[in-house]
Amino acid sequence: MEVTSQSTLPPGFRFHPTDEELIVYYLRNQTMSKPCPVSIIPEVDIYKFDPWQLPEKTEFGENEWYFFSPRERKYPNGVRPNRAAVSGYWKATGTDKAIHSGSSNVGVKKALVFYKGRPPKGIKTDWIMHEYRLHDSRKASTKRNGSMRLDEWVLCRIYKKRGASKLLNEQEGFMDEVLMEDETKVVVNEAERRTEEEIMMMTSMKLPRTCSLAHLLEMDYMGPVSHIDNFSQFDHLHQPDSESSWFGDLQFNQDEILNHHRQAMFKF
Amino acid sequence: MMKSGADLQFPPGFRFHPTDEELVLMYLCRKCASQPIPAPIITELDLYRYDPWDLPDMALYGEKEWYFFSPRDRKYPNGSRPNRAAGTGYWKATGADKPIGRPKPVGIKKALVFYSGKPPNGEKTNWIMHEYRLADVDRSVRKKNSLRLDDWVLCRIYNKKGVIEKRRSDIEDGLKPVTDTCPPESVARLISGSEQAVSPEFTCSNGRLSNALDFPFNYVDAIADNEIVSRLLGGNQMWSTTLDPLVVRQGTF
Repeated sequence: MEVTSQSTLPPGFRFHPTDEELIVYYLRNQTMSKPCPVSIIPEVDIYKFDPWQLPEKTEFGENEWYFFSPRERKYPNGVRPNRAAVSGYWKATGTDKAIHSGSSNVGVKKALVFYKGRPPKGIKTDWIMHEYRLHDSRKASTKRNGSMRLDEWVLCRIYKKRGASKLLNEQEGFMDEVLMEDETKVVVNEAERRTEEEIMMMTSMKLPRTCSLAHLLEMDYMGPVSHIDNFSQFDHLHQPDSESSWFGDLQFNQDEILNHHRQAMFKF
Repeated sequence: MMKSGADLQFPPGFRFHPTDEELVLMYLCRKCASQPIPAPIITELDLYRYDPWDLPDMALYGEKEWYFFSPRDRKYPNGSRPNRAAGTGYWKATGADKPIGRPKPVGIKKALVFYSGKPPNGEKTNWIMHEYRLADVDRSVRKKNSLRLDDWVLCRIYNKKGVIEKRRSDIEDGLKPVTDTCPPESVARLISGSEQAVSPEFTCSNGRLSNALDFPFNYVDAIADNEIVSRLLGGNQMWSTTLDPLVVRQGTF
């Protein structure tokens, strides 16, 4: 067996073993004190830690982590394993699955879930363990009476259930796309609104004419307030020549000019 | 079972199990840029010439999923829809397109299912394709006398049931219809559409919203415009009335 470090793997290659490979190539060699094909599975007593502490105990793994772990008895001379950990315990779930290599039964796979607290009131978590043990492990265990060691080694795969987070990631991606597009369209709307305003300004400036003097007055109407002041001065100059009634009419119309101007500004 | 080449010898348990990002960045981008590929595990093949159950035998590597670099042709000379006919059936898109890469997508992943027979009466099989294409590519530009849409897309092929089944076995299985897709995917499909790239669809969708927003604005403008014109005309009439005495006076003088 040749040993390969991770750095020589091409991108995309990962440790993604079948149940058979885990037992035949790794657990069996470990149990017989032979070197594994690759030294990527560390020896850790997983029952001395909580599952969220285990990923840092190994250098290899992204979403699932592998360990060789011993198992202790729950009671002296008993065959039940002690499932207690630090903050909780592991509880079996589903049925044990026999692992075959060719036509031979080489081992057993058991699935367990981690519960926080003390049984039977533990709180279920998303931490999952697949425990692999050799088929002939029970024979070996009975040979050591008086020891609390049930199995020298079992192989454990630890991971956190990821179903929910994956869905969230999917939705998150699409939401980003939609929001991005919305921002773009908002900018377009601004441009369109500005264009509309310009059109309205030009339309309002095209006024019908009634006579030459009306034209002059129209310019006053559209001009700033200072132009209105100029008109007042003009009125002052002609005051001696005008009749009082005519002057009164002029004042009234001046108010009309201000009113229209105010209306126009409001509409814009 | 495993058909790995002489160059691909890894310790037991190691497999090609790439993430979407790795497939796009390390394999598809390099292939489209004519750069060397990290590992000779992806076969060059026009997979639209074959039925999916014939593809595993032509792959360089794979146990339950097989990878190919394949060209894509247009369905029509001036269109940008790909021709999905293949072997004795056709590939039909399912689910939503997924952008790959952050913050700006580099690739787009599309899932498709193989149907035996002719559309729209094809029979659904268990063969699945994940197609990865580059995102930022102008596919409207067409070479003369060529229907080529993409020189290379990256495809992963696998059978949902995990075994290489022929057509008959697939048909006999009682499968759920496509409508059983989970709600989030259904919603996403409505947004993105089945064949087009993601961006154009989003643009169209927002265009609709934009039109809706514009209507009230125009309506208000129309009212305002009428009012202003009416008042101005009235004002002018008053000015005309006011000017009459002045004209008379000047005549007298």
